Amino acid sequence: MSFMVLVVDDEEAIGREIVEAIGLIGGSAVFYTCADKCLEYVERSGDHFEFIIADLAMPEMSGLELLDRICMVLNPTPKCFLMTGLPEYGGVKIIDNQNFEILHKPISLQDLKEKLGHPEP
Amino acid sequence: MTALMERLHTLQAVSFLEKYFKSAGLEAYGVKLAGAILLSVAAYTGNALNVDLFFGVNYLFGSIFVWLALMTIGPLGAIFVAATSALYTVELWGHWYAVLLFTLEATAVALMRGYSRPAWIAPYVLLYWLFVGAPLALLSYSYGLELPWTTVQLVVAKQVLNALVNVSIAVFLLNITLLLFPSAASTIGTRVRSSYGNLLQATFGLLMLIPISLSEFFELNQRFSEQTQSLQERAKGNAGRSAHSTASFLELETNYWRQYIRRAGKALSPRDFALAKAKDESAFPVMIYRVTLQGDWKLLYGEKEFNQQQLTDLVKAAVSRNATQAHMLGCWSGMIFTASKRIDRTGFLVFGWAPADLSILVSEEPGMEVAIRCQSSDGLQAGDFETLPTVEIVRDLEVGVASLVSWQHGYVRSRAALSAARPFSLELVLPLGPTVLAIHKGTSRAIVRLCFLAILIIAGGYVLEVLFRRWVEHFVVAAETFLRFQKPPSDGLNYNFYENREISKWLGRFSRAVASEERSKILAINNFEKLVRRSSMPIFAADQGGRIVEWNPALEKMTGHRRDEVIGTSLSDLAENSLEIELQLSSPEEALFDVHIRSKSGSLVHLEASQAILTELSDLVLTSHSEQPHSMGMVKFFIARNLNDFMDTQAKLIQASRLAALGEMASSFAHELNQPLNIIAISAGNCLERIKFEEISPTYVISKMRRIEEQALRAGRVIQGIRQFVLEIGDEQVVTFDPTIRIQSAISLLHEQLRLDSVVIKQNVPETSQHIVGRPILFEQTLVNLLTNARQAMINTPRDERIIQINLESDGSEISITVADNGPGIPSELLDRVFDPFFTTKGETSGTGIGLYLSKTVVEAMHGSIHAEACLDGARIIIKFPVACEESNVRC
Repeated sequence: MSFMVLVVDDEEAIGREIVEAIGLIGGSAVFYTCADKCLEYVERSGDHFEFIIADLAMPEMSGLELLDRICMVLNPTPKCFLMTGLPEYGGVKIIDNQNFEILHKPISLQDLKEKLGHPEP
Repeated sequence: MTALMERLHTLQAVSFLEKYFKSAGLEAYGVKLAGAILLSVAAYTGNALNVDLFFGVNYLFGSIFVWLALMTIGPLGAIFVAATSALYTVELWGHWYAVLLFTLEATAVALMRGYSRPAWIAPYVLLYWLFVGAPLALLSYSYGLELPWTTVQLVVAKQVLNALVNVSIAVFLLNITLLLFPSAASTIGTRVRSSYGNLLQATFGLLMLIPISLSEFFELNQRFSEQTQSLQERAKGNAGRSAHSTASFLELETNYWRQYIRRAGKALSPRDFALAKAKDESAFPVMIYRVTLQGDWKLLYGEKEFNQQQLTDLVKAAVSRNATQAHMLGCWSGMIFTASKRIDRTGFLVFGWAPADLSILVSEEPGMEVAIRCQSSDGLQAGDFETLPTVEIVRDLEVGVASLVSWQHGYVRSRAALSAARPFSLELVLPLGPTVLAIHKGTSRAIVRLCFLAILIIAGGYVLEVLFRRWVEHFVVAAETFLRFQKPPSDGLNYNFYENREISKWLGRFSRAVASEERSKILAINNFEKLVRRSSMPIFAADQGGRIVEWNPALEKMTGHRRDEVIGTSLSDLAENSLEIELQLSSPEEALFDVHIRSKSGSLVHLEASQAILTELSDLVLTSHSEQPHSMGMVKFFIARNLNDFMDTQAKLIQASRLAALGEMASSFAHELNQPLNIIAISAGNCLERIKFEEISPTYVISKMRRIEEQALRAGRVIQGIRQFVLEIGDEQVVTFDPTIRIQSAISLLHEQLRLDSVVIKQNVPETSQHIVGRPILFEQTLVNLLTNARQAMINTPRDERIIQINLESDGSEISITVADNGPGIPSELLDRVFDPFFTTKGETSGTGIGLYLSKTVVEAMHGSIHAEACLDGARIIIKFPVACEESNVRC
């Protein structure tokens, strides 16, 4: 029961750890540090992902924007996670909605297991 | 001669004046000397341009200038002018008495007047003439010049009148000048003062005296010319008549005496003639000749021997006429000669008559001494003879008191032909003296009348002036009473009179106005006192010597020094920074200055004082307190500001701004902390997971542990940064520090935020270390503020264009740090306001408006400067600091 996860975080150390963790819970992941490149890749490859995990605060574009744009490209829409320590962007509080679920930093492996454990078919 | 005398006199006077002037300072007296000479010339000219009123009585104008000199230059000048101008009278009248009188007049008036009221001279002139001048003149003219008493009376009265009118003119001229040109007195250079009373009396005096005098003089002149005219007419007629009757009379007498001698028949002895003369009731000849037809002659009677030539002429004339009738022969040697018919065949008689014996023929007024003379043909021109009878007034202008005496010694000479055929005439001489004296009598009465009028006008004028002055004094007393008690003096004003009623009304209004003014002044003083005493602001006052004269309770509370302790002591003694205070108190500029006072509790009170100009009011306030020591000169009030409070407030503000900045950075910090925590959590989780299911290599564990350690330290650094940022800054010491290090730490503090907003920092900072003096954390805070402003300014700038350029340049004496962004920039009209407190363009949500204000405060406290520039692409803030020497707290 393998699943594909797209991981986007501007900090490489985090990305690598998450990729490793996904591997440990039985999935495989594609990791990008640069949101633009990630978007480019998604648009170009048309690969299928069950999950997307994006960091909220990134230099080129925020996780919110990235998720919006990826979801516009991919169909069916993967389940999206927004990774953040403080659920707030530009002074606006961010809450779970139909587009994404918030993944609170610091993330434990247990959390990841629970969130990614039942991937939608 | 007179000119020489005058010159000598002038020279003497000038040298005397010069001596006088030298003793009292040359400069002012040089002007006075020039004025005296000028007025002398004017006075002399005024005398020369005199008006001949009538038969040798002259009106002189010189003394006008004498009085002008007295009023403007002073006594010596006046005496000088009087003496020099009077010299003209010597030429005019031929005696020195007038010079004496006029010089004495100026001297006496100058002595009487002293230096009191310059315009108050007319009464002294009047006094002089009444008690000195007139008696002296009467004496000198009647005994010295031996003029008739009537004439003396006239002349003296004229002189008094002349003096009084002239002094009135002078006073009037001075007054009118002072009235029309109020600054004239200072131009003249003397303290010339006058009064309206004086002006009025001079004006009315002249208005009355001049027309009356003019009409009187005109009248007198008229009368004089009429009388002399009638005298001449009468003389002329008289001469004609007398000549006619003389001719017929002498013919009759000649016939009568021929008959008498013929009847006697014999040679008559002189005794017979004497008897006949004694018996005779008509005229008797002075000499009788018997003349033969051959021209031989014989004196029958007469004492006087004719000289040969005249006798020859006479006999020749008698023989050639050889008439059958008695007839006139002519005049020889002042006698009239007639010839008779032939007394016998051989000869005839010639009679000589004395004209004086013919006076019975002249019909003149009784008492009039008429001289009758016979004028022979050789004394007359042919033309004259034809115009006979003639009349003329003859005056001897060589007489001493030229015109006046010449009139009195003058006479009217009328001539008429004695014979139609022979060119000799009868001359009647009528003396003018009695007529002139008669006119003098009338004139002197008129002049004395005028004189009395002048005296009355001047004396009356001065009585009026004195009354007016007293009235003014009374008015002043009334005004004072009004001001003090708001009601008229009980003994004062007589309300039956209009002026007093008006004055009372006016004074009532005035005193009410003054009282209300007084009240408002007192109110102002009270309020000012309350303001000073009750103000929570520290207020003090110092006189020009820097001594404290006011110290309000706010200051007492602040410093612990009581008011009564500090009053009178010097402010610079009380303060710690005495040098600065002394400088400030002595400078006329009103700058803010610091006063540092050690309070009684030992702490230093920092005051910033600014001067308030309250001179007039503050003087009043201070003089209203008797305990105040006598202050010197102008008192300056100072309103101070307690900088201790200000400093506290400022520190709190800075703290608040740091907290605000911290709030702004909270999400950034959260992010920054969460990053390492996230890595730690997942790394640890991965490690644990692997340990559960598989054998793991030590290498893996080591790498994970390293990563965890690394990230934990990273989190620690973040917290360290925050801690340092919110550190208490109130006690931070002033040290020398390297601004480049602080720039780096400010950048690193904001690094994550800048990175997330894609803001690129470009630096142009020298490698070598720099040094400035100040508080490093505050400096860092300033940079954080500037960088935050720059970052926020570029929120709408495309991400790949967000650049902050930081430059640091040093020219050896000054370090300038520039922070430039490429946001929208600052509108030029706001450039001046960006450093104002609570000024923000960020809107209410994100800005407090104190960031730049505090930056400015911090920079200026470090003796630096900060200003904003608007450039084409964004804003630019430039901070400048003086360079400090390395490792010392001193600026180089």
